[in-house]
Amino acid sequence: MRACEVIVVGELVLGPIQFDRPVWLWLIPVLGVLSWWIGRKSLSGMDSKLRWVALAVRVMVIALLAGALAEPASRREGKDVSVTIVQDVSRSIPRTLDGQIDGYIDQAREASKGREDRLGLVTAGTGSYVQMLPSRMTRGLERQYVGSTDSTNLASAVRLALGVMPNDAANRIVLISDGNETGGSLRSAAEHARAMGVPIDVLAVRLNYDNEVMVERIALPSTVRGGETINVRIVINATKRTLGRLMLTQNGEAVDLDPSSESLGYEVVLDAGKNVISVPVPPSAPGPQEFDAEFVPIGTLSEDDEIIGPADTLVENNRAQGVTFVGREGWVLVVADTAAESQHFVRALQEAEVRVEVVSRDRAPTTLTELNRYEAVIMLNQPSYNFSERQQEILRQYVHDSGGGLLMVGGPESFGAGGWIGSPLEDALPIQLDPPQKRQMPRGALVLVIHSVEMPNGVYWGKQVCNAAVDALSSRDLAGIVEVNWSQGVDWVHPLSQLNDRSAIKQSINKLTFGDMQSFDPSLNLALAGLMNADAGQKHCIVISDGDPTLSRSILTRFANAGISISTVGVFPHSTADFNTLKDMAEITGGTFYPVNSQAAITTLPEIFIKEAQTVKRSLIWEGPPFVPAVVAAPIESMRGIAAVPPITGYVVAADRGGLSMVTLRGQEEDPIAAQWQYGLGRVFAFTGDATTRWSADWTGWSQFRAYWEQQVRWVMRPSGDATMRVNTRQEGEETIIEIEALDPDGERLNFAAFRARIAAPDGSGEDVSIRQIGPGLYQGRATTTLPGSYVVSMAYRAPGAEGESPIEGTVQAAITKPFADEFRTLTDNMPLLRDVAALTGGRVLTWNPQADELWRREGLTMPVSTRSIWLWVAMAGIGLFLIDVGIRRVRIDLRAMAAAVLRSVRRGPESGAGKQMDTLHAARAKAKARIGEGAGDESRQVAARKFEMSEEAAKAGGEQTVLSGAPTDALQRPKVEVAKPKPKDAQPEEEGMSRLMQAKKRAQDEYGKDDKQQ
Amino acid sequence: MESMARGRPIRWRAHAVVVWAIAALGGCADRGNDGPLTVNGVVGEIGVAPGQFSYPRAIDASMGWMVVIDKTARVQRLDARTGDFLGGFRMPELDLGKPTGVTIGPHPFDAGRPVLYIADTHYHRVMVYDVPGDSRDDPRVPREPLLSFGSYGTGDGQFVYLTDVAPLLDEHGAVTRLYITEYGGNDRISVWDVVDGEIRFSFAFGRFGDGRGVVGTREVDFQRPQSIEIDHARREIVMTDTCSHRVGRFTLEGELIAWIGDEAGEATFAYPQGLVLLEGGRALVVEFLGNRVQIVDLESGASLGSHGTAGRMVGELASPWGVAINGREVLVLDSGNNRVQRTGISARRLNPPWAFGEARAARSIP
Repeated sequence: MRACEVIVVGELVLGPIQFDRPVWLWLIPVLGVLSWWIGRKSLSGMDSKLRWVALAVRVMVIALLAGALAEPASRREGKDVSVTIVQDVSRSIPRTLDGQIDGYIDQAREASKGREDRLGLVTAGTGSYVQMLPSRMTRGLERQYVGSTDSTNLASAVRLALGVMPNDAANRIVLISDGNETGGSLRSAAEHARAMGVPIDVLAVRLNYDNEVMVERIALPSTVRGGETINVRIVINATKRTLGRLMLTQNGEAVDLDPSSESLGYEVVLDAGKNVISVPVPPSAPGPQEFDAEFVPIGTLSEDDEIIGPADTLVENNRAQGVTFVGREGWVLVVADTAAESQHFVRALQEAEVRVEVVSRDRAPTTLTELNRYEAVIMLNQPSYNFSERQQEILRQYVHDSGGGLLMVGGPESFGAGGWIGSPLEDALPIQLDPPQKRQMPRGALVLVIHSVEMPNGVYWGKQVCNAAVDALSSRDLAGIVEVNWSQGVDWVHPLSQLNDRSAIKQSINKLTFGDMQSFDPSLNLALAGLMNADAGQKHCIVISDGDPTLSRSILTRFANAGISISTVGVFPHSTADFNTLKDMAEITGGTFYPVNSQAAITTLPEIFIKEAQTVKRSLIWEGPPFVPAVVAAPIESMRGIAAVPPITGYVVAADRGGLSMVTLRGQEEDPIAAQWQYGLGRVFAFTGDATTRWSADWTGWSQFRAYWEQQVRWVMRPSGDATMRVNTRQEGEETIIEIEALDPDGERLNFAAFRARIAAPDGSGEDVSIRQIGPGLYQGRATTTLPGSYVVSMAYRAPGAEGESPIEGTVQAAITKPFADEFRTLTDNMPLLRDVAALTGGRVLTWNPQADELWRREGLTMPVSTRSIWLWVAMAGIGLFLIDVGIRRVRIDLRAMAAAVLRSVRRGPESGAGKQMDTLHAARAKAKARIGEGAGDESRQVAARKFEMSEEAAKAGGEQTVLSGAPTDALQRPKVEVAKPKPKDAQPEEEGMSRLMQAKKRAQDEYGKDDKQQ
Repeated sequence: MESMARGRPIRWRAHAVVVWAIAALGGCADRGNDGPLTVNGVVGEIGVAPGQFSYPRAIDASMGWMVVIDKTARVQRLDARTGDFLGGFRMPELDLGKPTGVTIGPHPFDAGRPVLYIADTHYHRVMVYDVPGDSRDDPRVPREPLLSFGSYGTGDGQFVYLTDVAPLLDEHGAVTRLYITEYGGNDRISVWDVVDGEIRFSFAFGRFGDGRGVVGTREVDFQRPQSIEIDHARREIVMTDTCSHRVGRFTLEGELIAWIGDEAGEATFAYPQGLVLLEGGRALVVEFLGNRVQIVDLESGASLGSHGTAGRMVGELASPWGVAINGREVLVLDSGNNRVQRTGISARRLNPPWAFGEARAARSIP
């Protein structure tokens, strides 16, 4: 069966009018013909001219009404052209090109830009930024913040350009790039542009590095046994025979490559193509070994070894890094700030022969590679604000993806009281830091007063600090935000309320406008009123400002009297004197003042806010008379031999995590004191009491103190394993191949091992890696490594042991280093892609000749059309004309008679007043009524209501004598309006006229009656 | 019927007289109509190209052009109707902050030469510049002033954060005094005499505080005086005390005549920021957080009409900082929307600050 075909009729454009449903226009000819056919007879009573007029009007009525149904719209075509430049600002394109681009645009603008034409600029690096919205006013190109330039995402920039284009102009994109993209798909974005009818003209930045040297990578074994020489192989590509100096460092220390020379490194001659230089490095201390190789080119060489030219163009790709692990087992890192905090704990571990390294918070590792030197990290009473968010994320990654152990021991500045709520590390802990709602504890209340943050990325940092402060609070606490909003004035952005639902306050933070503030007083008054009415124990206010709003000291006294402290964060003041206001605010109310006056200090802002938020978090600490935590009976390794523990006098209140978390000690109201769990590849143990005499005085003298902590530490430490694993990695495009050669303790190939592996990326993310056996004792996995930087692969293995023996299990790590951004790998431009994009979108390949290129030319552009619906106006015109149509058929207008009447009226002058005329007319009307008589009364009214139609014969016989104003009385011998033409030759008696009229009508009716019957 | 017919025109005429009287008093076509401004046109848009603004905060206008200073510290002279760039420059220093006040007036030592008095707020000084007149100027290029005075401090002749400058002229149009407002804990008005080719500190009045002060004395409190104008006809100073939400009238010697904004029946303000005096003892006040322009009778303190609401559309305002008049057209500096709105409010400025030398000066501006 054939499917029904649907005929879709598109829009019809007739000059400035567009019909969206033109099918209705077919009504015009159809109804027009019908109207003519009907009108042939129905209009036969009219004279021929009038009949044509009536017919024409009727057809016009039909045309207008049909036109209205066809949904007409008036069209206005735009005349302006908007050119949006998308400029590739990635590092592969020299910045010196900016001047050339600016000059080209300036000249192109002079050559072809009209006054109303527009120019905009979007830059493309790792991210895309609108530098100038398309505008008529722009002169040259202005570039401000372009973000990271280590990679190129041309697609996102083109999409951004499409997003900011004006709708009322024809648009063109001019893409200035070498065509080398490291992210996104320019071709896909070009498809998008084509769909929008926007051509992309390309202005190619031609790159061809004739003389270029690139240190491709350092090839290292991923793991090296202790005492084994490390064979460092440096892979260098050169386009020509090149002389240069190679330098190598190991963990920041220079490696002496040429003992015979006193200078660093040694001179090497590279052949054109790939060169591999091997450097044997003597055995070194255990732990990760980071190598950095740099080639400093001197010049290209002729066949005769003479320097004949420069050797290199890009310096960014002249160095590479690599990491290998030298076997190191059994070390743990303890982070503690004071000896008092760590002495008992560390002594216990040393007695247990656990190798311990103690560092203070400011020397804590900052990279995953550094952390991986240790099998476990132990944090004693550490607050979160001691660690940057990046450090916290790396610590979480160290446990989850690298299999490291974490042991967190409490104190007054730890866990929830230390601001770890909402931190990346909270996810790794086996307890909930937010206390349970049922717990009856004093709450904290915090109000943030926000002034505009006039610094680079101020809005971003403003939101970061608010989020950090709010995240650090528990869900029982109250938080509110006050700011000056341009539309609402000084008001609560988020009213002071409990943080049950953090999403509400997060939404409010996202809506912050960081408005200008003239005076602190209204904001502080609002905050004070809110805090005074809040049902909370600890109350605190944080103000962030540049310090220049005015401030009444009296309000500070009111804060102080109410026991509410204000801490102030001064960011980028106009003058250091502005800090005085903020200092006063903090000093008078008992808060703290933090000056933030440099770009480097900006990154500390979130930590400041987290720290300040802790002011209201003291309530999470339980301190009281000594009590003995209950040992939860569980036959687990870490509690072996521990039947009871001594009393403690304090701990940080937290809640059960549930799931696989196991609580081993409980405190007041069943609060967890000690808990543990497996987190990813690693293990975590949390103890909410402390390891000092502050809360655990009886513990330090406890006979099992050493055993207890040794067992906890050994439980969390990463198992080393008995097998020998040699890991090699190699890069293939955006993937890294991981190959493992596994030997059992007897040196035999280890088969059927099951691996759990994760790779930790330099940006803090991690992903599972699937590893499978590909041969006897050989295993292989693939990981995606697109970002430059160091990756750490952690693998936990388990293989069946020999018959009757326990399984062979353990862990192994390997490092992968991607030396530099892909941005610097390509040594030529990508012209084919640029040509494709131009062809796909109907654009051109520009020539760098601004006059010839004519960036604002109209050809090839679809000018935008704005339409406005006018169907209502057309319909109203049709209805109006319809009334005229009825009038023409019903009323015969004699223009000559009207003109004559007007003339007579003018000649008569002012003596014919309106009142007199009206009286005359009334009299005439009365007389006419009397003459027509009662018998003709009803009938005459009916006739008058009918359309006047007369046959031609009747007209010929009697002519036209109709006078609408009544009988021809004396007064009517000078009628104001005569509607009949021609006038009777002689004045006829009224009775005769009326009877002739009646007779004519009767004849006409009879005649039509006959016609109807015939039909 | 006839009496009714005769009565209608009389009543209509009566209505017309009332409407006319109100309009004449208010000096505007749509006074008393709280709502969006009627707008004749919009000048400027966000951006850093000539004619574009990045949070403009200072404005003054004269003879068909206006001067606007934004947060990029660019001083731009623009055509008051079209917004075309007529010339400009950048302040020589901007790291600590940008100017918040500009006044067009005669040169302190040459009445026939128009200059810009720029309150370089965060550098604690008044900068005097020639009116920029070359449309080929690059407004990003810094320019040194003709002269400058002031330094940081709270003593005589020093400023913390100065906000506006008002020149007092003699009958020949020569500058005899400069009145300068400042805030930053040293909230006061400094008066500088222009004598013998020198600008010398004369006296200062006011202090930081939220009190009313004493009428007839210089004992008066300010909280961020932002704009100042001289009523040469009445020999008065009129200023906005922004954070106290009031407008003050003072004698030329700094004695308080009256506050407007804190008594029943008077106009009320929400951070009155910009000010311009009108003929007939009235003033136009633009409110930073009120997002409106109010016409105020300075004698009675009554509001004669307010225009504008908060918003982003044409006719709406977002944190306006200033107001100026070009001919009879009121220009509102709509800072939060990065534009100047040419409003339908019709008003004539009282004694343009350098009216006496205006004709001569106009000829000298390119």
